[in-house]
Amino acid sequence: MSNVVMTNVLRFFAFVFIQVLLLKDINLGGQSFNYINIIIYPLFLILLPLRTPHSVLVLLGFVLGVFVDAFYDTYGVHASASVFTGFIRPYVLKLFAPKGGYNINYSPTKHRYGINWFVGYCSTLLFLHLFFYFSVDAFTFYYLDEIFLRTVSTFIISMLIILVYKFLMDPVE
Amino acid sequence: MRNLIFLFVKHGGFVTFLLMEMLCMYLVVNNNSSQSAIFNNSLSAASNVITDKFDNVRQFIQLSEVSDSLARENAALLQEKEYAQFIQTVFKDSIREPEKEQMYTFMAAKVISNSVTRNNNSITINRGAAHGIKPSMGIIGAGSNGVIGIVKSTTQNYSRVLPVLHGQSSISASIKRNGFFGSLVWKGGDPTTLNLVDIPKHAELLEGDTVQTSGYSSIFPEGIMIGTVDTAWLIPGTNFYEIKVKLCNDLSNVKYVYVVENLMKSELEVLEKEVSNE
Repeated sequence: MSNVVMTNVLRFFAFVFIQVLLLKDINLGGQSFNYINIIIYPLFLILLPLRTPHSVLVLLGFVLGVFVDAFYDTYGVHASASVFTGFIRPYVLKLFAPKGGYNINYSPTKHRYGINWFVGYCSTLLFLHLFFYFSVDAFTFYYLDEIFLRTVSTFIISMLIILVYKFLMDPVE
Repeated sequence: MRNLIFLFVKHGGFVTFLLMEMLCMYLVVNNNSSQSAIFNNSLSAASNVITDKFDNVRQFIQLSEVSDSLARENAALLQEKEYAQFIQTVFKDSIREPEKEQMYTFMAAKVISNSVTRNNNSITINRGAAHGIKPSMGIIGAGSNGVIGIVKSTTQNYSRVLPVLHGQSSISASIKRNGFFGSLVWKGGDPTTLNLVDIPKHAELLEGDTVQTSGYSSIFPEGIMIGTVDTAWLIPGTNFYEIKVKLCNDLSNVKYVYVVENLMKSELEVLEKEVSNE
């Protein structure tokens, strides 16, 4: 129990600092294609234990987002996306529920439920998170095509990095 | 309390989500310039739309009030129209000749009621005591002149005229060509003819002789045309003619008249009173 909590606390700070100190400044698209960001911090929410209460997910999403925002200097933008991700996580989990249902003592990891399940679950949440994030970032659906472009390009790179991480380190929790 | 917290933790996801999102949006709008600009623009646009719709509803509700006030305004405007006004402006003109002193003044007036079909007719004009009209002033027609009558009574803004087409009307008139004078009376019937009586039988009369005011009554100036001699006959057993006078004006369509004021009437009256007292 305390092991799981410790893991997640560490993960929280690890993802936040990797995000804000490392990935924040990487611009893969360059000047000509300024649409690619790398965003992996939602993985903290994605990997929280299955028994995490809904409201706690939402609150943790807020805390995570505020931390990231503090470094991005965009108060509320990442937070709103993280809150949204925390909120929809149970529904996405329900969508990808395996035949036997979940063991609520597990965490939703690749190790527990397999690569296919994890890719589906993780990519859905990440994509929705990114879409929400870029929507709030634009704050208007007038540039919907641009929002989609950012979402898709960022999603591909971020998902790749997450999968690399998952294959390098395959945590149980 | 613990149960409440438990309930919230278990089922408060959506509420937490809403609260957190509201907080986030608050932060977004307050801390990010582009988002706040968009937010403020959208907010003002939305509020404009809402205000507009609300205004429409309110205008509809206030429609009866508005129409009432419009009706009031209309009434006020109608009151300002010329036909609603009692023109207090007085148009006066005088017979001015260099060596003569002013004797008669004329004041324009409008006939506001008239009758010619009865035996005792009457005319009302829109000038009264406020404009200086007093009883026993003369009334002559505008345009073709002709005698209309004599003011009988006045109110503040109106005067009642005893027209020549009245049984009690008697106006001093004379034949222009030879100066014989008599009284002009009306015996009913035809409103275009009057009877001139008391013309002595030695007077030489021709059909078409001009009949004019004699100036003896001090009501009318001398020489205002009244009409022309139509027919004349001697009244049996008397020495006087009775003459049918065709009026030069038509009292049945008289619209504007002049009120004649004799500025020297009081002087004359004093004189005549002295004469009669002797």
